[in-house]
Amino acid sequence: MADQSEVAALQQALAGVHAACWGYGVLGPRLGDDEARGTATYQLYRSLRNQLIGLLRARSADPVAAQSGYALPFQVTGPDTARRLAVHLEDGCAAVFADLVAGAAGSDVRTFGARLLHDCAQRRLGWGAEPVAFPGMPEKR
Amino acid sequence: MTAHYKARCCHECSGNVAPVTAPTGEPGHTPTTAPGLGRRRILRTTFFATVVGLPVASLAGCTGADRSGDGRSDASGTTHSPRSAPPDSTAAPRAVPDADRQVLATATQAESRLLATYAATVEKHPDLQAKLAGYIHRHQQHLAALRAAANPAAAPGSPVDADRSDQGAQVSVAASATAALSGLVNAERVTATAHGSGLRTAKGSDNARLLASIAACESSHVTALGGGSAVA
Repeated sequence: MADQSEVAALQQALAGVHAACWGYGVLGPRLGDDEARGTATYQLYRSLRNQLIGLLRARSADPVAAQSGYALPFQVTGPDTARRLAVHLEDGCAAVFADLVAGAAGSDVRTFGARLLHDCAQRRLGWGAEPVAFPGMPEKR
Repeated sequence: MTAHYKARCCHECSGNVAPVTAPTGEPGHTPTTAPGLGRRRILRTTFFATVVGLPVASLAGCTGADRSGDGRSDASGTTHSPRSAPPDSTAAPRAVPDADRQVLATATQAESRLLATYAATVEKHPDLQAKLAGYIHRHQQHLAALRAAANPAAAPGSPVDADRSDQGAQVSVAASATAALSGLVNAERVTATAHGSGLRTAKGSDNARLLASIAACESSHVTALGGGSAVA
């Protein structure tokens, strides 16, 4: 019997990654000179999605599906708003990955979550945002 | 970001939803045109845990004690420290596990040392004050959060075990500003690594999350100070 808290955290992480895949698909073509970076990040999230699906199946859980669509928090009209949406996605994913650290039943998943959280904080900078004190913990900001 | 985020991601809000086109490479992901529904969806997916503020354990329907003996105080704030409370003192309060006391003390000490390095750097290079102010503020937030986690029953600002050895710690700062910044990058990296070790050994899940978040911040400091490049 897989740890249900860990499964829930993995499902939530997967749901976040689904949204990130969708979001990067939207913003990527609007990034202008940064498009290659957007494409690379999109591919990274697709790969991560498959990894999370694998982890859930290994725990006999049915991986949560992507929504058929998502609303954007603001209009993406060009490179500036595209980068801002990328930061928004990274912050959202950082939160679910921080929850994955907390929900992990074993050190492998905990370390995995911490690495994902670290990467979100790095990508946030890459999109032009400043560091935050508590990545993935917006309640502390 | 938080304020913006809350304002945008509440399903009560309205307007400013962009009609979006289907992203390339995602066939079948037809964007919604129903703003309210879309907002709830994004609320449930990427960010709902953040907005709603529920820990994963709650979302999973877990009950009872923390899975790993985490010692965070509950909302009543009645948690006692292990020193002041007998082992079986009254029902609700839970103490910081012994193992995490050491982890948090080590993390607090590392954070204090890092702040001392910043203070010495600014003292020697006053021109760096403006550049480093944000970094120092974030580390002060880290230190406060670690102190609160280590001793949830203590009044804010109460000293914890780890602080003492760092008072008056001698920090050598390079004569050139560039070299001094390199020293800070190195100190950030060392501290992030220490927190990385701590998060692997922490028993309390909330403590692990806190350490992971602080480590991620410090790694981003390394990058922002010029010590490495962002991923992807």
